[in-house]
Amino acid sequence: MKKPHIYLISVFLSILLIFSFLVTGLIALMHFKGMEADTCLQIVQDKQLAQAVHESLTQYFTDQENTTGIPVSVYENSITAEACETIIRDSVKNGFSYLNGRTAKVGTEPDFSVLEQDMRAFFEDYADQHKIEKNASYEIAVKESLTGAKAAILNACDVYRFRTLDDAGVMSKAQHVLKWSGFLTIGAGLVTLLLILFLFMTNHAEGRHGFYWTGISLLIASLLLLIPARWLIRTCWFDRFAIKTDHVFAAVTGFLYSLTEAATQMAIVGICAAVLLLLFLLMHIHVYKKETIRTAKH
Amino acid sequence: MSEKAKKRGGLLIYLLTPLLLLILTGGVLALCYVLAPAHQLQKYLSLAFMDNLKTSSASSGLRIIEDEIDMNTPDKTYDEGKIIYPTFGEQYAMLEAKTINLTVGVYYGVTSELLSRGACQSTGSAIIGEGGNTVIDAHVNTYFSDLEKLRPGDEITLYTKYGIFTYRVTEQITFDKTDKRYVAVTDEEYLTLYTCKPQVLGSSDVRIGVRCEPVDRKFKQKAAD
Repeated sequence: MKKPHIYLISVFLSILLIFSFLVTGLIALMHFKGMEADTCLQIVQDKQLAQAVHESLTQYFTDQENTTGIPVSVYENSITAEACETIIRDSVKNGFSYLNGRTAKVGTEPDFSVLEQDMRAFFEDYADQHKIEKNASYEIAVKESLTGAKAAILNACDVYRFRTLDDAGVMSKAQHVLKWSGFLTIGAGLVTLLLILFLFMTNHAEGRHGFYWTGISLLIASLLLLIPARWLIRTCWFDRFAIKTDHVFAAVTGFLYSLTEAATQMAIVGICAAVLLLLFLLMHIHVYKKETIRTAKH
Repeated sequence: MSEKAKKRGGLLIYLLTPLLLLILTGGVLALCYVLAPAHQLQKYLSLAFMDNLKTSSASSGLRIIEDEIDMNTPDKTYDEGKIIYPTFGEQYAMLEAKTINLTVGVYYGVTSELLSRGACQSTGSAIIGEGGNTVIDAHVNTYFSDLEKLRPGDEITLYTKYGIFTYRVTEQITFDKTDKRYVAVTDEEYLTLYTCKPQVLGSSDVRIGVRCEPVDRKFKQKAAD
């Protein structure tokens, strides 16, 4: 270390660069992985959420039979695992479209014509059998039952709770932030490049030191990302979340584990890049030394 | 200092620098974690998932306890005795109404899961044998399907771990679900059983049931024991 002030400036810039790498990495992770519907759709498929939602709805309508008297068989035609999957997928796509500002409102309007037809047929039969007059109050009761059933299905299929988050005002806040996520990624990337440039400029007398500082900054940033990510995965930390609904639990923790896995992969790529950079530096020093010895001999 | 020692010192600094940086930045991140308002996120998560996403190893959700309740009268009983208070989700009594051929477990607390298992006692009502209004309900399409067949004078017995309590039906009741008249706390001892009025077109807003007065109580243990 020839000049202490250059070392201290490099340490300072390196600390900034570590945070810059971390911020860039995390913003990019959210932008490219976290805010993409495909991530959640993959979880829906991997965790077989449609099947879980179907079972949950069947249980719900079985319980409801005790109160409403509508047998669960009325729903069997329309509420299948396939139908649930379609609604879940549409709900996820719509949720992310809304977050990314591509649609104006949260929520889908699935085709409930089969359900409506089956429920109306059941009510008609029941009314005929029990000589119930089909007047305005009958129509209101049918409509209420239909609305209740549709709401229950939509609620169960909204596994990421986009509607509830929207009602709580979270979606609009997230939408506002995410509008800038692309610019933030580019901005953070530019700041990182600028800091690397400053490090090389600070160490311009010995250009190879720029590789050293960049290399160790990238290595440390990657370790700071890798260590917590591995810890979260190894300890199954997200499994401790107490979300009572099974399929919502699977959806949320699946998403969080997916992001953590992506962070791990990003950190490993970072470590590899840092090691390559440091190896390049060592090779450079080795070649430089050889050349110096050769020049001295001549 | 010799040139060799200087070089060695410089190398050591460059080897130790990454460690120093790791400690420094790790420390800053740990401090940020403690100071950052990340906990506010829980408020939103709670809203969305009806839970607080607490990271706890303790089990959550409903814990149902189903102990066998002895329905035989012991040799020695007492007029006053010790009540064993139930916990939420515990089946702490058996309800018997011989005239409608009904024997059903009574759970403490009302949830859809408990209602699917038996009759449920509202936690706001009096514990059996304690005095006051004990309110028990069940689904009309399951356990209380014949409740409307109970008539004044019919006997109902509640068997608990700590005693046997007999009531007599005094009146048949009908009330709106928003009407708290029959389910409210009272000073006098009652047993109120109710269910929904059978209706297929959506859930019924009308409740039907019976109100009973105590006729006999047999505790298995004295209060002082």
